[in-house]
Amino acid sequence: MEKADFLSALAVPMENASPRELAEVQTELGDHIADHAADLEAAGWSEADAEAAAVAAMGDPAEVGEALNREFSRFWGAVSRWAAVALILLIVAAFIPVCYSCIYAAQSLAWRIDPQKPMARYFKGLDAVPLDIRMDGADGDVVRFAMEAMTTETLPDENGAEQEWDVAVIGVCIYDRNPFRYVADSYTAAQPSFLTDVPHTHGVRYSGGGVAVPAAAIRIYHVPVHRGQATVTAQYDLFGTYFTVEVPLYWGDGHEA
Amino acid sequence: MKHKKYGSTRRATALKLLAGIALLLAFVSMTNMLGLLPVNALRQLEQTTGTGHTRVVCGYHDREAGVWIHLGENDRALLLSAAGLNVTGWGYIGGCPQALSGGTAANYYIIHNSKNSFLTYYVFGKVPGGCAGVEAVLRNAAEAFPDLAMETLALRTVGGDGYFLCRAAVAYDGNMENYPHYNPTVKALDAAGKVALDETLGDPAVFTSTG
Repeated sequence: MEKADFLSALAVPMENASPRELAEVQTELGDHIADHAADLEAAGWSEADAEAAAVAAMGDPAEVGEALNREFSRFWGAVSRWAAVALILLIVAAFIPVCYSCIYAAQSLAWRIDPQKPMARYFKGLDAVPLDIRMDGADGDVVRFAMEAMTTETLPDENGAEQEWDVAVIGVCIYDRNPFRYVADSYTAAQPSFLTDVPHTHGVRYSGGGVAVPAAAIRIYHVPVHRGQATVTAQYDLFGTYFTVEVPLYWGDGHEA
Repeated sequence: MKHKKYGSTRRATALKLLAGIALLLAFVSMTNMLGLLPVNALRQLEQTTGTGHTRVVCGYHDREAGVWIHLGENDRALLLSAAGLNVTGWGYIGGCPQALSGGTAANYYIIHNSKNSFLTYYVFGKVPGGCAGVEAVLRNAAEAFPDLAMETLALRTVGGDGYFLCRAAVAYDGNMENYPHYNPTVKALDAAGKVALDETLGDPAVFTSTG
């Protein structure tokens, strides 16, 4: 029997093997036969005899094929096919959400590295001062008071008459320590708040705009204050996490009052 | 004849693929990037509200409203999530319905399903020390319609405290001007059978639309 005939006969009982696996087996056994034949030729055998002897040494191709076929488990073959399909489907399904999460995480990291940058457009024309007051918020959040400027705004007093009032513009950056997690209180955006005894209470909640992604938020507060007031109190109260902090006010010359 | 073990190669490939699936599932589930299960909506809501991790008190599939409802609680909050399927898997719909714990607490949540023109009301709450029974009624402010008894979906005792979830659906023509301003009245009994909670709830935690 020639090598090619042996390899063809070997394939008949190997119905469990895929074409690729069958080709692999045939290549390997073909190499074995060639190596053996080469050894015999080196020992003085003719080429034809050496190949015939090497093929004969492999045994009955039907028996070898059946033995090899038993090694190709149909169960594991089916498991690997279904697992490959499931993995591809999962990767496709997760692609968009993972992309969004990575974009949000990148935004959160950029804002925590330089919170003044996204705030700058809200402080145009104002003499802004950078702050760095960091407090622990709920569920792993960091509440960072990052920028401040003093200005005046026309606001109604308790009788409805419009007057010029001093207003502290304060920029707050909120982010979770884990950039892949969402910021707490992102729906109501009620935290933190500022306490002021000035008649109008626009400063109690953020009122100067802001920008947010699920993983971080920039909030700008306009807090009416008294001329020369040294600090303004910020308060945070969310699901058992509570703090108050005195944010110093800088009046014009870059120094605290 | 010596040859390599082809069968073990097949098994190794399958096991590697299964390990890859498990790792990917764990990653997307832990990071909440992909809502694999409706309960992932509760996990997202925990983050966006800031309650921290809650344990699931009860889950309910509302086929009519097309949502999964989960009630989660911890020592700081009682949280209701309504999960719908979207492009990122299961995610919460609406805002952040929630009721602070600490003493008795109850709140309600409304879903408007535009497909079947129903408003579905959910009343949920907590009774410290256990809950022996709950009776919730949708009471029309104008008293033009008869009171509608709500169905009790769950009455559970977890860690010694009682939790309830009730539901009722009312027809809605989709016109906000005709929005039926039902105010749920809820009466809950504690473990001893005494009235622990008896109040008419005000504004809903959240009104949201699906369908």
